[in-house]
Amino acid sequence: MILLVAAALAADVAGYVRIMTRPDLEGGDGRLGHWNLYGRLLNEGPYAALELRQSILERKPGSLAPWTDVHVRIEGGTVQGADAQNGSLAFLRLSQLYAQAGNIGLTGVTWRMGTLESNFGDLGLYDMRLAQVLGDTVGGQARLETPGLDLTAGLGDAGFPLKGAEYNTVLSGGVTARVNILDHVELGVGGQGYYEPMVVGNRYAPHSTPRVSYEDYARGEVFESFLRDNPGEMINFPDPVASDARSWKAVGYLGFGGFGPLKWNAIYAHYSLLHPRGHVTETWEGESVDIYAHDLTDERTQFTIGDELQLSVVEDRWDVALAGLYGDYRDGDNDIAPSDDDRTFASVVIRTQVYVSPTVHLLAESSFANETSHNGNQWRNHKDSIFTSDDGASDSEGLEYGDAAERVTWQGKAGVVLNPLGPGIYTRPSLRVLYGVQYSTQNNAFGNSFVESIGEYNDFGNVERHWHNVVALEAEAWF
Amino acid sequence: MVLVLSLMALTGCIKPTPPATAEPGLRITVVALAEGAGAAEVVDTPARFDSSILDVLALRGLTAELVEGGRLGPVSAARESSLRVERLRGDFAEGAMLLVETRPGYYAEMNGQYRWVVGVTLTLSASQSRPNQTVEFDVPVFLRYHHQREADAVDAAGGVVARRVGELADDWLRAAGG
Repeated sequence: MILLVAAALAADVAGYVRIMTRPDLEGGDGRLGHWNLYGRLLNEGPYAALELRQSILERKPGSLAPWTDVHVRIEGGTVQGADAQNGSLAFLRLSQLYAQAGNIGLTGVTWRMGTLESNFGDLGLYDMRLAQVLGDTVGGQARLETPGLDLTAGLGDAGFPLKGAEYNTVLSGGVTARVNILDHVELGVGGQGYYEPMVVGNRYAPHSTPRVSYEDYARGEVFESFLRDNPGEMINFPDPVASDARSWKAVGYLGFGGFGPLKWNAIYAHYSLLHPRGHVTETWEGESVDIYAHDLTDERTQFTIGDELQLSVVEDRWDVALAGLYGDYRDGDNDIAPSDDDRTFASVVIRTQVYVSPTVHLLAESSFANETSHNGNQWRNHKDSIFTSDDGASDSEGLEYGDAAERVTWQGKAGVVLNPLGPGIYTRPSLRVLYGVQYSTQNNAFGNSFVESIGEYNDFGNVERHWHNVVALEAEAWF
Repeated sequence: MVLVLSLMALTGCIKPTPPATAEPGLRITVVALAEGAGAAEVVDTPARFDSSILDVLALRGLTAELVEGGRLGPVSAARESSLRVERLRGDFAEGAMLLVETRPGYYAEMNGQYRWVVGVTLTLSASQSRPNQTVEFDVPVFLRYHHQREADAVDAAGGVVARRVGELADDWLRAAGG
């Protein structure tokens, strides 16, 4: 911490913070709904990010001389008194560290070593960056910036972000290209590929356990099933077979604006094949084995597209932002169990901000979302849904969860915003007093500590609640 | 509607400290320029940025004439503010002069926003015989999109810069008995 303060005193400091209190009289954890599909407002928790830049050779105006600087970013989603982690430093992370240099070897090229990233922008109402590559890679990157063209290429290792403590090298390379046409149209494309080589003898390298059914894997009963079929033959449990692993993503961006009241419209998309998973450990009758899941998790694809437009309806008096998001996730290995890897979701969010004065604004936002599970029931619509977990019937061995394969959510939010720096939906700092209400087909569709059991030993009882209300006092700032 | 009216009434009741007032007919020449990393010459500042500065000077009763940075020619070769003021005195201004120099520079992307820093130097030269008053500061600016570049960063810094220009003008006018 002392080092951090010392570094901050010597460097340029930038940051982002948001903090809120949302006393929840209905037993929730202070967030209106489950996630940002319903708009980020009132669905996000506290966050703090601090970025330090130390210019070693400063970039001088008008000069093409070499320059270099070092960036360090520390961030995390906890603040004392605002969430369950109570600001613990264990939940903050050193998320970025890189050095970059410009005008060395090639004029106009910025070389970067360390953590990498290239993305086409942010879907602000959802706080999502759909068109992003290299964000999980540590390595080297070159970026060429000219007035109409921006090219980035990077190469490195994504092993730790993808596999954590079960590290194995995952070679990663990505490129993005962005073309700007007369400041009114922008087009961007990019992609990233991952290759995890086969390493015989490394238990964290990609392997597959042969002859495993997906149903046993989903239930966590592969080992149990084997021993039932082959009593006393644990020694003959199939050995994992080594292989390599590949995955990739493609991203795109189309932006246009600067016409009349349309400030800008940005469409972001990505289509990706997720990296296969490693292993899970199963224990049966005191014995444990590792089940290697490469072949059971190598057909997961994700397609997501989002659009956001900003309108200045009345200059410096009334702005509107409208956004939509659609996602289609498929898991070709899984046709039996509902999961977050096999679903479709879509939503729209509209935010309107009226400027009563340059610094006092009125905000209103509404969202409507639909989520559909491809493999049957994933949500509980009623407090006794546990009795109808599979095709309307109770099934303790069923793979479905609850009584609904669809979740429909509506949210409305409104309140007063104080913006010292003036008008603008994205102008910060913002001090906000907001009220939010949600209706969901799912029962208790927000973070909570309710007891879901309906057994006779449940001393707390069950609650049927589809409406949820919160009042928020919050602040958000970039600096 | 009741809430809106209440807020309007409330904000209307808050009385800010009145700005200093210039003697009638007092004129000032404002020179505003932007210099970006890698750019060989200084360029004009955005029109909205200029007008926000002219507005705060007009609010103090000053008659301001704007000289856009792009017209400066040889002056742009000078990098020191005092040297620029000296050269400008010969070419553009005789009475009071305010030189507004901006230096927008990209910092990094943070949480989906593009952070820029606009370095600003304000130099007020009341007359040739009096020492210049100089204020230097940085304005952090967050832009939503990658295509928004130096001009947008300077434009976004306009509100903060105008406020500092107003404070500098107040100091000058009050010291002069305004």
